[in-house]
Amino acid sequence: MDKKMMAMSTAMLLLKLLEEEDMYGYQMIRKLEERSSQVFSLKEGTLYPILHSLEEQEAVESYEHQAETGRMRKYYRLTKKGGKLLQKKKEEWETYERAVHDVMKGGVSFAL
Amino acid sequence: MRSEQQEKLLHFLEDVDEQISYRPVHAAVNEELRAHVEDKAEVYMEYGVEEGEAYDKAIRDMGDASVIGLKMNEAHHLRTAKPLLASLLALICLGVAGNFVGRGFSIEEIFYNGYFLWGFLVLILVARYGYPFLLKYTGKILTLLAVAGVLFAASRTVTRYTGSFFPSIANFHPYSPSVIFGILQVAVPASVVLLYRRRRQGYRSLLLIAGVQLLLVALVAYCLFWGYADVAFLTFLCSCLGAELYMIGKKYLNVDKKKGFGTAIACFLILVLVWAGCQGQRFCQTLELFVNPGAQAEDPWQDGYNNVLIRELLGRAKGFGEVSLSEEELVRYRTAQWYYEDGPGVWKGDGIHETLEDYAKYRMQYQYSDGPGLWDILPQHYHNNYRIAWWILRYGWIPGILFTLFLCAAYGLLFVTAFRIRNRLGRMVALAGSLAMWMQFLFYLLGNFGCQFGMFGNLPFVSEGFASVTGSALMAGLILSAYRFDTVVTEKE
Repeated sequence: MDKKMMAMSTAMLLLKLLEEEDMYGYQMIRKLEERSSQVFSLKEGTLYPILHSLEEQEAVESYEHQAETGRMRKYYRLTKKGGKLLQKKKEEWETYERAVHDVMKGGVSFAL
Repeated sequence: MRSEQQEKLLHFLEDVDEQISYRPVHAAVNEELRAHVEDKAEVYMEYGVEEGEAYDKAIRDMGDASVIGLKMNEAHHLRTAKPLLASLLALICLGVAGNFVGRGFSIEEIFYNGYFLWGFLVLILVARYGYPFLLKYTGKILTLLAVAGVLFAASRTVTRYTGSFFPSIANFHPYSPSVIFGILQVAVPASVVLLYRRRRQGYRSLLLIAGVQLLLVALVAYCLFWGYADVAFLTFLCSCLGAELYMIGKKYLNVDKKKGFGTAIACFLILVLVWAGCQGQRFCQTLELFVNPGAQAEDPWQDGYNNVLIRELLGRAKGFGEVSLSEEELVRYRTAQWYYEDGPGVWKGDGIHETLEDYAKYRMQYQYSDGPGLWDILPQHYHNNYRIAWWILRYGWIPGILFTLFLCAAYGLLFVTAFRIRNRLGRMVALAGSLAMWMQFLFYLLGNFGCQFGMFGNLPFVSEGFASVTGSALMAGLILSAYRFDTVVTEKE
């Protein structure tokens, strides 16, 4: 997938995943790959700066939880602000998607 | 001894760290990335890949370490709350300028204002290092405060039995209202940190804070005359209550919302009742001073007289420009004759002067050569308590209101900064600090309109002395510091 499109949608996809349940980074990567049939397969390390940046924007918040293996994992959860951001990003994406679809479909547009 | 896999992982993490300028954040980032690589390597090994290769693959899947580090660095940088810092500097400059206007400009006056420089240095130092220090040494700071409290009470006991205040160094008096104010100011963030650390204990945490507050009531009551600490104590209690209610509302505390609000408010009211009840008649007088100051204006040295005078003068202020007073009126205000001779006041002597004429002569001997001016007729206290009233009388109501709005905006930036802090504990400390400063501003404002409550409060950074300016600098410094480290300090859940 094109990198620019990927970058545009990654934050939205991560927020969407966190809307369903709290997750840690590795879990998110796996979920993204599963659901997109391996289409969204990003360099895994790049996920964390996005998550940290979302955390700075207060769209997500994190907490640590010890796994059964004893490994400390950092979980992320969606905040109210994050929910609003997800809604906004979804609307932007739908507008973009419609525009691409309309152009690809062809035909005449009437602009006044 | 490290295994080969650990060495590889370590090199990867070092490459990430190299790009992150704020070193204390390295550990948290490393921990998260390490867990990810180990998880991934385990998955590879489950599929039969040999350990060394599994780690190689897992590290390769992470992508370029430097790129990750660079992007992490963008998300974790130290910030400066520039608007708040600028407004605090403006307030300090106002304080210095106010002293020069009121006391005249001289070399001695420059040295006298040195405590503002001290306050500024404390502000910068705390802003730079305060918040991580508070997080790291919370327990030790609280222990130190408790020990200081015990020593304070012990030294007071000694002075009670020896009959003299001890230790008193130069002008620094350990039992002065300003010192109490400074201590109670510092106690606000300390209490909030304690409450936050115990938040999982639910109602017990609220009761613990109430217990700490009760101990402080007892300490202040034992070490000082009650009335001197009314404003300081109410400021302390209200700031802590505000932080508690916010924490309950946001569900940071492990309590039911309604019951939590009820418990916090009930504890607050009980403490206020204990405070007021122990004072008895004295507290009624404090309320009377606030509502009906004329009843406590038996002589011009009383706070009640100051309230009456400032109300009278403000009633004569113009929309724009200096209040118009004839030379005779200036003299009568200066000598209190306007109240005790022309007005409702009854002169009974002020303890030094038997007759009003004697008092008038005494007052007039200090007048300037060109006759009394506006500055000479205002009630004057330690550090010019009537700065807002003076502004209204000197320039008119409209500039006075604009000046007040400027102060509202300057102190309002404390809240703006507090609510921009993402870290919960940082936000709580900043919120409680902002409330403490606003409460002081509010009491000061009321006093300037002739509604003084208890002892005259401070106007943070504008009208303060050494001890209280230190307390304000600590508080504002902590707010700046919590904001500064907000993106780099992670609160452990």
